[in-house]
Amino acid sequence: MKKVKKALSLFMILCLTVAAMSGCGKKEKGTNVDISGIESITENTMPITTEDITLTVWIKNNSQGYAADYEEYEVVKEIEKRTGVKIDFIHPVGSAMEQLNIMLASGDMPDIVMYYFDDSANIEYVEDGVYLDLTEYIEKFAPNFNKLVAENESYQQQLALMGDTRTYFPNLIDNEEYLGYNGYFIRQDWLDKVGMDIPTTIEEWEAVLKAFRDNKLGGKNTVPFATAAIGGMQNEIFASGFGLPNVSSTCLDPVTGKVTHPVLLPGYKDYLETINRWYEEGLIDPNFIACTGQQLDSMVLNGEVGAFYYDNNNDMPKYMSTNPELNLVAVPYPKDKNGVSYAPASSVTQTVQKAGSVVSGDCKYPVEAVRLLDYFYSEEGSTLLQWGIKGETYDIDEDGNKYFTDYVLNNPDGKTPTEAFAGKYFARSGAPGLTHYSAMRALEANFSDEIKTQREASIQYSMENSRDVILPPMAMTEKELDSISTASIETSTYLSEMHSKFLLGKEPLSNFDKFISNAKKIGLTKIIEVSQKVYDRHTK
Amino acid sequence: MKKTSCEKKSSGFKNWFVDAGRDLRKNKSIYLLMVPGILFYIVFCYAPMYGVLMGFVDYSPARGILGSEWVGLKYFKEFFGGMYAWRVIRNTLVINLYSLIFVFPMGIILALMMNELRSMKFKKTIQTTTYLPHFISLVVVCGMVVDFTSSSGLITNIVNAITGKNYTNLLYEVDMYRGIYIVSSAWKNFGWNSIIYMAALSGIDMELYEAAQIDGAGKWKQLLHITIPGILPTVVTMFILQIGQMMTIGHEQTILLYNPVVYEKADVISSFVYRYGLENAQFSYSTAVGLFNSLVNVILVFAANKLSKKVTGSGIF
Amino acid sequence: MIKRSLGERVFNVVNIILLIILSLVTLYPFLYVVFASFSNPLEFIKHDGALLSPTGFSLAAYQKVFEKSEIWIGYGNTIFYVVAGTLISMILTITLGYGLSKKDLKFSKPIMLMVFITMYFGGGLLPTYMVVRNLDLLDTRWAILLPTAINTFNLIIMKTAFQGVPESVEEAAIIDGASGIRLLVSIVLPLVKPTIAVLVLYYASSMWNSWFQAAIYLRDNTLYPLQMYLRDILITNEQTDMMQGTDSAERQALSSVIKYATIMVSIVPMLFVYPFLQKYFAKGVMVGAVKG
Repeated sequence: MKKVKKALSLFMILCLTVAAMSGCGKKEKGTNVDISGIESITENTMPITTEDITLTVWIKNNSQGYAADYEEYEVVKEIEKRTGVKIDFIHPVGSAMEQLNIMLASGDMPDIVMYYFDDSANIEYVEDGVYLDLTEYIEKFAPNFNKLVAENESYQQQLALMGDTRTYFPNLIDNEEYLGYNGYFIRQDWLDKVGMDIPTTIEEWEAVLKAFRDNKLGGKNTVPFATAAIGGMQNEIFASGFGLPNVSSTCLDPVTGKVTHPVLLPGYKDYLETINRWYEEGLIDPNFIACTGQQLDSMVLNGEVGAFYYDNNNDMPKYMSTNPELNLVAVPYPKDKNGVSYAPASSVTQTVQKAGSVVSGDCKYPVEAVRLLDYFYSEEGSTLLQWGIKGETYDIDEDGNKYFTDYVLNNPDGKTPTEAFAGKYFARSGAPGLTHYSAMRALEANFSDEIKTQREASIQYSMENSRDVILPPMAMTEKELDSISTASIETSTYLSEMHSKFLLGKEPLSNFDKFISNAKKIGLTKIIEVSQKVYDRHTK
Repeated sequence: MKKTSCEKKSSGFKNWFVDAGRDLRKNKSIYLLMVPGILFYIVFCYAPMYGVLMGFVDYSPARGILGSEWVGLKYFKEFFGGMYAWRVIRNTLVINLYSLIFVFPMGIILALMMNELRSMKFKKTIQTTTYLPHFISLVVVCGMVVDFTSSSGLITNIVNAITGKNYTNLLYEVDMYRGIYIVSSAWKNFGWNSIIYMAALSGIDMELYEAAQIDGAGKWKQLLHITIPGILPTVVTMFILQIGQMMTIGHEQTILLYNPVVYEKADVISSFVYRYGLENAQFSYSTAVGLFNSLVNVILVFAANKLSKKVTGSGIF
Repeated sequence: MIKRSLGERVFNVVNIILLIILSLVTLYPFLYVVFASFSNPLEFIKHDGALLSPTGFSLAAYQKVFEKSEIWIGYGNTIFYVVAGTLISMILTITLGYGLSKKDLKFSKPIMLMVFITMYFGGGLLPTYMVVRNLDLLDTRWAILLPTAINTFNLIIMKTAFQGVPESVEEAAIIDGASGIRLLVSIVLPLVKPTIAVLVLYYASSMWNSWFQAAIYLRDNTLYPLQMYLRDILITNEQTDMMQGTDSAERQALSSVIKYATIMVSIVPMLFVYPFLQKYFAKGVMVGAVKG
């Protein structure tokens, strides 16, 4: 045994030496180009450089299998030609988040990363020198971006909430009015059969769903109401009918304007009671807590579902075009006793997006990288990404409006518009810079008028009053983040567990008061306190 | 007194080195053969082990492990101080225990059953079909399980017919979750697990069976006295290795099957850490939890080895 | 032939029936994948519950899968990784396992202990990544082949097999003048052929199924194994993006069927490997513990 120990210690020494040689992950500090001497630019003229510069860009391949590598894209070739910068794309496979974390943690950063960013976490990376602090760079070398922000008050407000340090280039959307993406839909033909009107309040919904159930309009497996457990949708259904914006994340109290959590709002208990009753009475899909998108698809397409709450951008048009017999109409969010409804934060996107680009602290050509990113906010650059190449994918009519060519809309090889565009030109999803809302809509020119009408309506419904109660993304300091990190995971575990149990009747509602006091104790009070502090700091 | 013990020690050292040197010279060719393998372990297993330090610092990528702020046991305290620590540890242990009791023997039983087959063709067919699910992605297998246990699913209907109850969705039943988890992991793996026992069974000397038959021993006696002792060393090894996994459950299957209603019995260490890590890249926290897991595993496996030596007279090392 | 008793015959019948049921149950996931891959996409997404035959018939998914040149590059890479990886793994496992099986070696026990500990104790993902990076293996084929070259569990199986070789065999060979590698290759290895067959199957199948290494260590997609493409299809968008524009129903439906076609493409070759190795099992393998 003694000998074993000796051999063991010998071995340990050996290993430690190897570990020491392998460098313990210590990183050289970034190349830190000194920009104080470089003059700022008022116009981002092309080409950016005449030298031979290559920038590596890390971006998730959003082409949905249409392209293996963005380098094949015509638009990318065009960008390289115009800017003079060569772009080398890296696409993560599998979990992009996991791989980004490894890259960050190992200090192996590509020059530019395009992903979804949390500003609070970003600050930490900027302070550590992993990301470049973009504040000064944007001031000096991003005239296109600055111009867009200067002309738009809403951008300014949202950026202000993110603090004074610019950690990333946020993708911007050029349209304020069409940002909603989840909504309620109902079968008009079913409503006609039971002779009822579109429901607006909880009482009316209950009556309609009961009629659907009792008349077995969808056959043996009739499901009066369904939703899918994607992005927390299962936790949002009918919440607006009880004065709740959602039931799982902090929001603003509609009455006091203070930061609060929906479980603390007066309507929550009533909500649990009602939904539980509906669940037990068979008014809601019995699998709704964990229903997958595929399950919902099959139920809806088979005509078993009377009404549902789901994505209005992709899935509703899919249903209507796949099965034209589905007479779906968009309906407003259920209204509460005061006749108001708040759309949940999760169904509305911001015009200043979490998606965007960061530049590595190690980047050898930070000025060129920033100018390249800024190019995507210019009319020329963003048009390339959003509309493709003039004469090939789009053209301009006499009024100066852009439209997609037949190559995209009525592809000779029978490709769908998205496939035609993303197969050869660019994957618009996750594209950096300014998103042209008009391009997105123009791609869908082939949809029937009925689909377009219903979708427009639904998008409007899902934005109603949402601004009043949404807690926008705000930058927290590292200390603030640290102080609630453990509390927030435990609280969210506790809340989602108890919420689901109450809904399914696995926990009697008589324990409600105990539940609230427990939740407060675990961390709810603290989370609200910190969020309020951050909110006050940013709004003052 | 002191002096002598000191001398003894130094001479012990000396002797040891002399012995070691002699041994190295004598078996030079064998040691040389082992060098590549040992190098592999040093480079790819031991060199990264300094990474466990990450559990004790507030890891910052730019500063590296040694440059990050030392926080000692902070992350351990955070984990154990949390209200769910014991719940997830308990669930991990219980699910593993179930799998040891139910899944582990299945591979052995399947192998024994196949061993009784006379037709080679049939045997090969069964073997190939039972190992097929091993190659189908967990995502797909779990997707099927979710489908089958939903309100109109095949399994739900069968369970309702047998019990006479009216379950809507089996995965929403706290008391059924672990059963579903175990059955689905058995479904995917037991055929593959039986390969090793099949191989061991075919190594048993056929003459032993013939002799037993001449002695008039029936099937049952042959099983007890020849077959089982024949594969016992394999079983013991596999068992000890399995014990060493008691604190480990991959998060993938759990995440694909569970839902908040059954957290109470379903949430395991890895899924808990996964949810934690999803919110922010918590390398230090997950390293600390992983370290705790490893420690318990090592203790368990050494204990199992010792126990096995006492009971069966054999162990792994 | 000895006459079987009634009990034995009943047992045999029950045994066969049970095995047939078991194999049907385990065959189902595979059949499901087969049926789904040949299904008509639009009918498939409407379908609810168990699948007992393809819903409609369509080869659209296979057409899409094979249309892509990456699939073939992936296939080529995977075959390379499986062959080269299994070879490297087997050489390392055999040489180290052989040494560890020698009880008279002074260092075999401590080395065994060191090896064993790694089964439960590791530095984790990030430090391993950094070692691979510092060795300059990132984005090379070596990053797939080397970091997981030895599986300790397989090493233990190998070691035990060597221990099962009677000492007298080796002694006789040594007297005949054989030593070192020649002794191992020409005398000892033929005696442990069944174990080698099992290990080849284990190593080859884990290399065939592996994607994680590639996801972490590779950036150049001409080096990607087949499973990377499969992975990409299985784990679809984590984040829905409203700005991507709507896809047609057909195309969305097709993507759910493509998933299954890709699985088919990726598992069929492994189905042929097993029966090929199976014949070696007849000789028997001992994965045992050491006495004492």
